[in-house]
Amino acid sequence: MVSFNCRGSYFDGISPVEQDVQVLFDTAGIVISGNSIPEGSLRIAALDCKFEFIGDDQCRITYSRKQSDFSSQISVIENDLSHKMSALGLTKPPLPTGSRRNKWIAGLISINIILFASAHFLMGPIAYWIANSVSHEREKELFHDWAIVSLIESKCNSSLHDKILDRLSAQILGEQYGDIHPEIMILDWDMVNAFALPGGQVIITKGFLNHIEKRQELVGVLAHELAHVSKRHVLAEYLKSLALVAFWSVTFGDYSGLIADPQTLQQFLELGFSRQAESEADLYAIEMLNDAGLDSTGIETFFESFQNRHEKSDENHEDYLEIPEILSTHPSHDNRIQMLKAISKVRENKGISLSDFRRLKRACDDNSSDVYQ
Amino acid sequence: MNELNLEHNPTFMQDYKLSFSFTGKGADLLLIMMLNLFLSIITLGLYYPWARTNVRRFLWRNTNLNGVPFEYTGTGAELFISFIQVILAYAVFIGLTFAFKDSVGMTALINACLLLTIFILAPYMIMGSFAYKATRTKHRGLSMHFDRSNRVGFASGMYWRFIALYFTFGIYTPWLTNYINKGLINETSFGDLKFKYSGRGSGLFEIQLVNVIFIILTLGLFLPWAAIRTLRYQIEHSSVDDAQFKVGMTGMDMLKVGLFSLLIPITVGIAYPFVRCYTFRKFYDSLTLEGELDFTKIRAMKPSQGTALGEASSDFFDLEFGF
Repeated sequence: MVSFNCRGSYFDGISPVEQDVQVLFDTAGIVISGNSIPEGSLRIAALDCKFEFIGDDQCRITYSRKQSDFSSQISVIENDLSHKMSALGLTKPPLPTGSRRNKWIAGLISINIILFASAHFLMGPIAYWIANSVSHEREKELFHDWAIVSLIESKCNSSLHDKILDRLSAQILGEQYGDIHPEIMILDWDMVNAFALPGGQVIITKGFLNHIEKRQELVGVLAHELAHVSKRHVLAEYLKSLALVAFWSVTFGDYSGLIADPQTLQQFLELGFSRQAESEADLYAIEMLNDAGLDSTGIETFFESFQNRHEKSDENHEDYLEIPEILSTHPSHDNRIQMLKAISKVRENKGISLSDFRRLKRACDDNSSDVYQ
Repeated sequence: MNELNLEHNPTFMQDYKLSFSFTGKGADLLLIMMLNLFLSIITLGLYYPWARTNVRRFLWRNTNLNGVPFEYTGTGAELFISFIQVILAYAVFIGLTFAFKDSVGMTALINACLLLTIFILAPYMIMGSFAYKATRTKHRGLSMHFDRSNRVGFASGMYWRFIALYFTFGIYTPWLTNYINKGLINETSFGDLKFKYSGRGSGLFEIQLVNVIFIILTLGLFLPWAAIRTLRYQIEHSSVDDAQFKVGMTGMDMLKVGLFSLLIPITVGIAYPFVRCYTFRKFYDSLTLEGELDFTKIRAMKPSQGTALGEASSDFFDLEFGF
């Protein structure tokens, strides 16, 4: 096809009134003719036209008029117009329709899923690579104030407790202690919890101290959290979640409705990574305790006692639900206990004296009368 | 041939009723969105302004008034430049916070300055965003126009209303909404034909008071009807020339839209474009412009589009006001 003719509606850009014109399409552009065209007929090169398709059969052609602030517009309706214009080389091939469009959609969805999965899996190693290249000292500089400010009001430990905990962490970490120099805080919180924060800070709660009965439980859990710090899990996880949140938000921008809740999805996807980090921290904690000649049965003992408590709460019909393994940031307790039992060792050295252990357990109740021996 | 097209020109007809319609298909929008998503991922988000523009172009060109589609003339490039400007301005505050991170007093002062700046600029962002969309809208080859000359007056009026909103625990919201509607719609024109908003804060308050009572009495079931009552009040108090906007969408239609929206989380978002098109179809197919509207009297005004800064900043700080 060299050219084709059709009728169109002409808008001069000054008035909204629509007038009929004749439009000739050829390989060089368009020729419009009619009473409303001042020159009678006018040729416009394809390069000076802006074509916009509305479906396959309608096209809006806009062109700037010489010596005028306004642009004129022609609206043309013709069967299969987009393909006819594309055949003349005036426009690019139109977006596919019908079953071809559906194939495109399916292909694009698959590609997008692959891209997202790749980005997700790549961010883990990249985050660890960056975290490992940052010194513990620099990490402390960056994050120390950030964590302290929000928790300082709940802090229970006095200088006496600091000394006990420093001595204990020095035994666990051995040569690494000088580099990491962790700061351990006891918080006046009732929940049973212990966790590590960026900047080499480890938190243990009053609830946790009330829950444990044996010294090795404290030593084991502390070793687990110190292993997170030593293996850079905290900083790497922080960097990874930061990068993922940025990636999701920037990519979706206005399209937040496209995914139901990106943050939930991202947290769900992150679980496997966290569980891997938890297992690694368990193994490394036992290794550190074994190397230091300390009793390393504390983690498993703690989990057994924690599990017993859950079972009791179930029997008493208390409002507690076991978290399924896939939804938990930790591997399931049974699997974990079995794995720990295989490598832990019972030793005489518990790492902390009974009197110091009792002092720590009382840290949030009364710390003024204690005198460090 | 070569004559006025009487079928599509409501010029010579008295008491004419112009109907809006939406012809977009969910699958076409899904294709555009998937392409946008792909390009956004591989450009690490840089494509976002173009993606936003592509979706708008689709929505505008599928919205018709008496069979003639609207046109969106905004470009991704202008939006991108404005986004960069907004991000750079915001980066200055972040940089200052970082530079003075050891001084609690300075950090607090910088944060206070940032909040104050956002507060002062919020009315300008709201107006700028609306003006951007209005001036990038064309119909029948004619651009819409937005008069920004009253922006300082609009902003100062809004500061007082923000304060009133705070001290009345939000009860003042209908008056604020009404003020914004009036401030934006009354400055908008199609060529030289001005739009007019005649709603009143007390009128909107009455509507919303009844809504709240019925929502409580029906344990929330009245929500779709409440939404449509509020929307109808605002639309039916908007006019152009002697023609009044009317909306026929009902609470039941809104309920259907709400139920259809439940598909979005179930399909992990794939249903979103279908829901969006369905919502637009329900709304625009019930929207009419009733009364006398003489197109022959309308003349274009000198183009004065302005930048996309208001659009980019309102998007960045989530301060967009509906269009």
